[in-house]
Amino acid sequence: MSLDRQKEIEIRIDDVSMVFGRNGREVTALSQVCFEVYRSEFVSLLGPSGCGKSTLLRLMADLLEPTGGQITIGEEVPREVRLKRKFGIVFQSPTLFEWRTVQDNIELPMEVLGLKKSEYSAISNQLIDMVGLTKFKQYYPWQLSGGMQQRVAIARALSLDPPILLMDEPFSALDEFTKEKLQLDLLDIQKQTNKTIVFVTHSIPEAVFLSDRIIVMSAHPGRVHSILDIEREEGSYEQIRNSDRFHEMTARVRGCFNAYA
Amino acid sequence: MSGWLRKGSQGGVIIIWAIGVLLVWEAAAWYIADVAHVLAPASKLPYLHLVLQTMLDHWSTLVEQGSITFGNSIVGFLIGAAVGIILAIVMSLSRAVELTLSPYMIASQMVPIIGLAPILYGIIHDPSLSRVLMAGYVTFFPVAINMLRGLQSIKPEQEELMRLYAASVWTTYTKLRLKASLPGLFAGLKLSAPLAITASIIVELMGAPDGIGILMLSSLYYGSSQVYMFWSTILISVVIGLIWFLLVTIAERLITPWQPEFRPQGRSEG
Ligand SMILES: Nc1ncnc2c1ncn2[C@@H]1O[C@H](COP(=O)(O)OP(=O)(O)OP(=O)(O)O)[C@@H](O)[C@H]1O
Ligand SMILES: [Mg+2]
Repeated sequence: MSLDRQKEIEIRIDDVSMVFGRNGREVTALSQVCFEVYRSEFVSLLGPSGCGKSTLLRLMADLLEPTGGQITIGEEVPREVRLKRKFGIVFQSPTLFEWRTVQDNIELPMEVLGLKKSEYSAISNQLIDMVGLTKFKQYYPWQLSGGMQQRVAIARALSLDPPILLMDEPFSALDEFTKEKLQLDLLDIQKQTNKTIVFVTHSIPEAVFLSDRIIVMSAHPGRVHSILDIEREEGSYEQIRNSDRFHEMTARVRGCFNAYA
Repeated sequence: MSGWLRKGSQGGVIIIWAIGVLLVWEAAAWYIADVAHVLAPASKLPYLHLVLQTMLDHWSTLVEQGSITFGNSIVGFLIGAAVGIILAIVMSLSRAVELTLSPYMIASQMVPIIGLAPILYGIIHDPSLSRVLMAGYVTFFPVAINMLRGLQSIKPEQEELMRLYAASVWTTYTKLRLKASLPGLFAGLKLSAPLAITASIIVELMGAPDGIGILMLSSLYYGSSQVYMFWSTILISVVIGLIWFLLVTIAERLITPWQPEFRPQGRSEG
């Protein structure tokens, strides 16, 4: 795609290791992981459970510090980037605040930033419409299904329009129709705002459909197994999904898994 | 619209329930007095209507003494709640403080209030202050423990989210921890509301010169002629306890409307 035009490195993961625990009861979540994510690129992390995908996202967002190696974002360390609120994150679980309605949850980041309600209610309303929760604006999280809660979390992650989006299996709890809609929305958003997106998923077709590159990881310890370039095609959802190229790519990714399984 | 119906039917249930209790009471009193022919039936369970009659006759005394007791216990309850809230916040801020304070707090609850009340009154010799202190004493513990549990109930990801958005310590505390603690706080308040009233009455039973507890005691001493007075004081205590509990519940609904217990059944619109 347009990436070749300017392959500027946005996120550099340099020989990163992460060991949890101490005193002999250690778990090596990540071992000497190296890769780069280019600006405005859509990268998927694909790998078996426990290979350190969530941990990797937390390291990028400065929610954890690596026990080895370093992470650079642009020219900065993750902390500086976090303090400038340049990250949006969707955790594996929706992580809503139970005492806030859908709208208030989505507005949380803007509220924390110190913006005024009059400044951000238009933004939150637009996001609510996008994730299809217009009728549920004033609902509390316990009144929503799991998939609806996850859509709130996605809208919240977009609320500050962050240049970097970290998404941990954001669509895995959604039905096929909503999933398809949000996948297309996400690609639209990326096209319009040139976000850099790191996206964790367990679904090979989803990774192939969305990504510019797929980073396949292996577990115990978590490592990068291989990195695959995906040539994204133009066309409708159906066209792409049914094309021979698409099937070829998914088969190749699946092959990577079989190689170490 | 259906909300009105629902509230109406809830009120109906309460009324039916109350009428049921009254009927059962009267029936039981009738059984004890006129069927079983128990000796001194009124001291076992007097007719309710006679108790109510006594309440009307001695209305001014009951109000006067009652307001002393319940006024003190409510002040004590509020002070105890404030102390409990402050303790919970302090303990949530520092694990060391939590570990240091909790043994003392737990030990404090091992002292039976029946024993503590006369000691306290013997030392400070002020009935009002004793009532306030005892009410506060039984209030602070459930409030502190339940609120602390609420403060500690937040999920790691919720904290990570605040960190991601570079929220200040203050913002994280007020927008996350304090909010998460409110259901626990109200659980503690609901537990201690009736306790606070009992504690104040115990001070009176154990030595204070006035209050509803004194009416209770003296009507017990003066035998069967005062039996209706005794039951009046009991009834008043129950009603005041219920009202206070109800007020806490209403405050809870207003302040923590998100709690699933308040979910209207079969909702259709938001
Ligand atoms: N806070 C933590 N403390 C200790 N160990 C942890 C912690 N977080 C993760 N781990 C360990 O690190 C390893 C990687 O966990 P991680 O959650 O990153 O995996 P994952 O790839 O996201 O798995 P899944 O696909 O199931 O979500 C696991 O073995 C896990 O037990
Ligand atoms: Mg994970």
